[in-house]
Amino acid sequence: MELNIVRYILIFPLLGFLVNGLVGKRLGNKAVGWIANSAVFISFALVVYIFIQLLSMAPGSRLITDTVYTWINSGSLTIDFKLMIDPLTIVMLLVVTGVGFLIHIYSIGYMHGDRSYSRFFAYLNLFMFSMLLLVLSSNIVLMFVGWEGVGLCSYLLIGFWYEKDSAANAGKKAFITNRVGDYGFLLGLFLLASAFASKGILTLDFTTMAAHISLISPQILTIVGILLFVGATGKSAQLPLYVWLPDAMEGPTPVSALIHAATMVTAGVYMIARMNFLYVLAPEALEVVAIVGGLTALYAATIGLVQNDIKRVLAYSTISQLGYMFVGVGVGAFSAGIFHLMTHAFFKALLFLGAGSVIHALSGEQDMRKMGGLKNKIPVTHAVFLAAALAISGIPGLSGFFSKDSILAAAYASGHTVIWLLGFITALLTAFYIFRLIYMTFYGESRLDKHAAEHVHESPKVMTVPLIILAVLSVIGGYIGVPQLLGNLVGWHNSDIFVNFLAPVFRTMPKHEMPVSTESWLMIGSIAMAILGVFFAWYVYIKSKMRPAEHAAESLPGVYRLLLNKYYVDEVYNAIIIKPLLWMSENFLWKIFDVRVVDGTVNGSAQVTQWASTKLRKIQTGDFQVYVMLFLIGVISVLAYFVLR
Amino acid sequence: MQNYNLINIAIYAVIIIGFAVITVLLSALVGPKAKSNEKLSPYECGVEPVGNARFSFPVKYYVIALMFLIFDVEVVFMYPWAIIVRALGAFGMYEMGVFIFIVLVGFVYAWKKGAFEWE
Amino acid sequence: MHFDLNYSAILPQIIIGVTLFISATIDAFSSARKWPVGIITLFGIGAGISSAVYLWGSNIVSFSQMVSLDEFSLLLFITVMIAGFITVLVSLKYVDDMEPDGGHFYLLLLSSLLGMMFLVSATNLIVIVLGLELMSLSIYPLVGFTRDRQISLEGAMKYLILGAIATAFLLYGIALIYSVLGTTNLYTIARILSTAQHMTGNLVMMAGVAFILIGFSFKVALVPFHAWTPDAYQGAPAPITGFMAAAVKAASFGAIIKVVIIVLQSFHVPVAEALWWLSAVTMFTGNIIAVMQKNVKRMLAYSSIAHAGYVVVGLVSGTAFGMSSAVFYLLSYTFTITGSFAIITYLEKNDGTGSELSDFSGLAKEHPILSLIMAVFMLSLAGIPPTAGFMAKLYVFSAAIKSGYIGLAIFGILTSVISLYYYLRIVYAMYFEESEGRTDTPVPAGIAAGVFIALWGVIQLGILPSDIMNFAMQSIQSLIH
Repeated sequence: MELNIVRYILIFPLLGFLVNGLVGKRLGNKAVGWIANSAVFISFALVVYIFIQLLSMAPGSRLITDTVYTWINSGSLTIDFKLMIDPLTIVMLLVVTGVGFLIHIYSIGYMHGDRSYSRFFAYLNLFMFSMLLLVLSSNIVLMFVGWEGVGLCSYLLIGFWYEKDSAANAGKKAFITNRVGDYGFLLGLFLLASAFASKGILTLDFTTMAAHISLISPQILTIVGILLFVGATGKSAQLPLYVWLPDAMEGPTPVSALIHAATMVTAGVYMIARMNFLYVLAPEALEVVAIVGGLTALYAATIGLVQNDIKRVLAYSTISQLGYMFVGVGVGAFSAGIFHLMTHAFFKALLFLGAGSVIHALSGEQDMRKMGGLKNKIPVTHAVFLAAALAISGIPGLSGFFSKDSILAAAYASGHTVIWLLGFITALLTAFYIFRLIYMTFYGESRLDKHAAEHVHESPKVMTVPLIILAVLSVIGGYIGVPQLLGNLVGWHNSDIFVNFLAPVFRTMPKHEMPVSTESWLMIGSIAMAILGVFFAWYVYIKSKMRPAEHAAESLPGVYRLLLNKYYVDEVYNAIIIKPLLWMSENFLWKIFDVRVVDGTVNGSAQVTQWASTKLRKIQTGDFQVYVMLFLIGVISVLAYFVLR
Repeated sequence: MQNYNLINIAIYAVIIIGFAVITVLLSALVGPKAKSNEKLSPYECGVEPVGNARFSFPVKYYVIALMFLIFDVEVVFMYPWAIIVRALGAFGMYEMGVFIFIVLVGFVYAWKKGAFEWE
Repeated sequence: MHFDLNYSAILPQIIIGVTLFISATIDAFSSARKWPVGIITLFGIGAGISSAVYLWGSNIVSFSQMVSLDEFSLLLFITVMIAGFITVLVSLKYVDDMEPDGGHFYLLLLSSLLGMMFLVSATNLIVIVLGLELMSLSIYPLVGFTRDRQISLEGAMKYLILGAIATAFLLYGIALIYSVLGTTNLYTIARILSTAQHMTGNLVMMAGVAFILIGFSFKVALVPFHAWTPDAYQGAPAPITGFMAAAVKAASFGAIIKVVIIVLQSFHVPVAEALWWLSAVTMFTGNIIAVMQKNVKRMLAYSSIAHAGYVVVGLVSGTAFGMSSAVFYLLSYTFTITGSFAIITYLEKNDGTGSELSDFSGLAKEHPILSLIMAVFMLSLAGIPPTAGFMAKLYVFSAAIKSGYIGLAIFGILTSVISLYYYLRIVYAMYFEESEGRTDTPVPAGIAAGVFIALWGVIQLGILPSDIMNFAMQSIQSLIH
């Protein structure tokens, strides 16, 4: 169905960006907040409207398109600026605009009093535009435009407080690391385009590609799949390109919540789900996705165990949870991956915003060693934080439990036992680090600075209300995807609404059936892991009142230092890649090539140009006789040319 | 047919040239002569035709001359029209009306802008 | 008696003509302030644009095959009328500031528009000359509109005399062609040439083609027929400079394109070679001399010379795509240059100063939005994406490359790199130099509106070029049949 209002989902955030970016300073902060928020709200309302439209259509034919114009028509390749909404898109849209809107509201309170208030909201709206473009695009080229756009906004927002060196550097790091990934993505895109072109298909529309994917040989599909996934590892912070995400916490906290937890970093998962028709025919590529995802999940969780900065714990947690999602899509359970993407958006956005609320309450303190005992001072924040922590740990009944469990079940059922084990262990670590965070922050003795302790205050309503809404979503969000196993217990048929809703979008992998008993044991196992993790955290930090750092350092000094220093990956990258590059850049590219060759050429040609200009200018004396003379010279040359040739 | 027309034109040309020559000769022969400085210059009024090119001159002459030229040409355009006006019928009348109207607007414009005011 | 008179073939011209009469009458009977005349003119041009849009798709040859109304002429009508519309918007306040009784500004602008429209819709060489002269004779006094500025009169005078010489060449060329072929009708000429043998060996014919080329080269200011441009552009009031650079150029190029497509197909090789040289010399000279200019109007005059060279690159390729890219270029240049001169109009003071490079210093601090837009225009002139100028250059150069003129394309790209230097000088001055203190007057509404229309065009053509390029393709197709 063609529906022309789809484009307005994009237009309003863009308008918000333009207005706030151009004249935001003059409008005053209040108006800026209103404009940015209403732009996103209108988009959200449109998405809800379209969602209702979509539900009213037959399950098999839920597709809404909107062709804005033909963007590239170079004869051999036609790319439309065309938007497309199917069940997968609408899930992403609801998450992006819904969570995005809540975070926009929260930002009004959080950014209150910032010098560059209007710039912040302008960037935020631009991000919304790019992210929505990424999600809505109906072909991979347009998707890449959105992909680059969110990267740009991420860079701008990480370095938002650019007067801080660390923020500026973090922005640069994120941008450059993403470039490495994008290089892979682009290669994959070109390869795909040429493969299709050689079969006479001159468009890169998802539906067209899906219809003709079998024309292309599996080898090429595997290479394309892996190359595209390289792009995803950059954007979604997977091994080995995850290094930028922890540093990205230099940005304002709403940015961390919106971009680096709920939306942008999940773009890689979305891309793979969107390209499922390709990955299904390239099982080797899918295997790579699953392995990288599983390893990242465990790896990042171990680092998260020992971090002391509240936002960094959450950053590593995000990387780890993204790993789960890649496991989900990697074992062919695309809907499970997207389901986790959605629940994760709820509780991780909540965790970040809650952390922001804590930081706000403590006048900017982020070190958990200087927190503790905040439970009664900021009760609302504490309550919502607890809800999110329970959700992410996989405590039964909350959203995280359902989504994580369906990923693990799918991994086990498809025979990826090792990957399942990685995820299984990660579940324990997840529960541990998140409750370590809770206990260090909200329980025990107060370790606050005197100065900070005097100013502790609960955040204003504009911040707590979005928190509460997100908390509700984190708690109940999982019930749209209750596993059939549990549904049967209460006599609920087709309880897995989410999977059924997305089913028409995805190519089916061979179905793996598991005995009911196995599935039950798996579920009980992961519940046990979650509870065990919470218990360990309680035991270590509350019961035995151990100062976490010292204890771990005493018992396992080597491992602890390795984890605290994040496996020295940054140092290794620095030594192997960055230092040699810088050396080469300075000693060869700059001092020899740039200064001598490039500058020499540029300055030389500029001098030649100026010299020529000064000389030629002299012809134009202003004397009329000279003008006529010039004219006649022209006449004679043209005439001579025509007559004498 | 064609030759016939050409002969007509030739005769016409001879008469015209003859008329011009005879008029000039006649006035030179018959007219009274008063050889003062003013009378010997080609034009008794207007701009000095010979002399320094850089001097200021009244632009009014040229405005008047231009206006004259426009209406002169307008009338010339009416001669061929007059010959076939019957064949053209009402359509011809309308067209000439439009044409005269166009020139008239220009005339009124020039008038209101003061093109005919001598001081 | 049968008359071949289909008035819808000149409907847009009739609209502009009637507007001219109404404006003249109002001007004659109104008081000192003339902006109401401008408003009437605006409405008239708007109606003209609407009629052209409405007539899109029609193909009428009428008035004894003197004029044709096809998509080609319609697209160029729209181009020149947009230029006229923006110019009038920008001038509403300017005219009243400059001249106490300046209503003739609008009348001359309208009559020059009328001339341009006949010029591009003509299918007869005589009508082409008529249109060209009506256009030129209206532009000369506009250049000298500010009567008390010596520089203005000097520019007008030089333009007038050289223009007369150029017209003489054009007429002489037409006469020579008539002497060989016995007709001035473009389609008849085309038919005779397509059957005749060895026409390229006929010296009289070749001289005629050469003279016509010279006459047009003057109007679009190709080197070495460009000498009048800097003086006239610098001397003219800023809005008129923009109008000349946009509309006069577009209309004259329209006529060239038409003649080249319809008539000179059998002359393609010699004409293309001659245009090759003219284009190369023009791009080089225009851009090089512009580098050292200190006056922005003069700088943009040289820049407009260079841009004519780029349009010719599209003509050289000779294909339908090349011609379409030239038309696209004209439209994109129209938006960019009228917008730029709208901003210069704002800065120009009553005594004619205010357009030096130093007058742009620190503009960004006082007028951030205006400066940003000016920067966009400059980037468009330099051909940086995502502006109209970039797409236009992309199209003409790729047309040249497709037709095998790779050397010319590379040369053109190199010269456009040079041009970056002086366009960015303006941006640099606005953003990184300190202001020398200027009286801060608010931007008049007309100028703001004009600037925004132009900006819209620059962005529209830069981001969604394919629609407009399709129109350009259709327009060229309508000439080829």
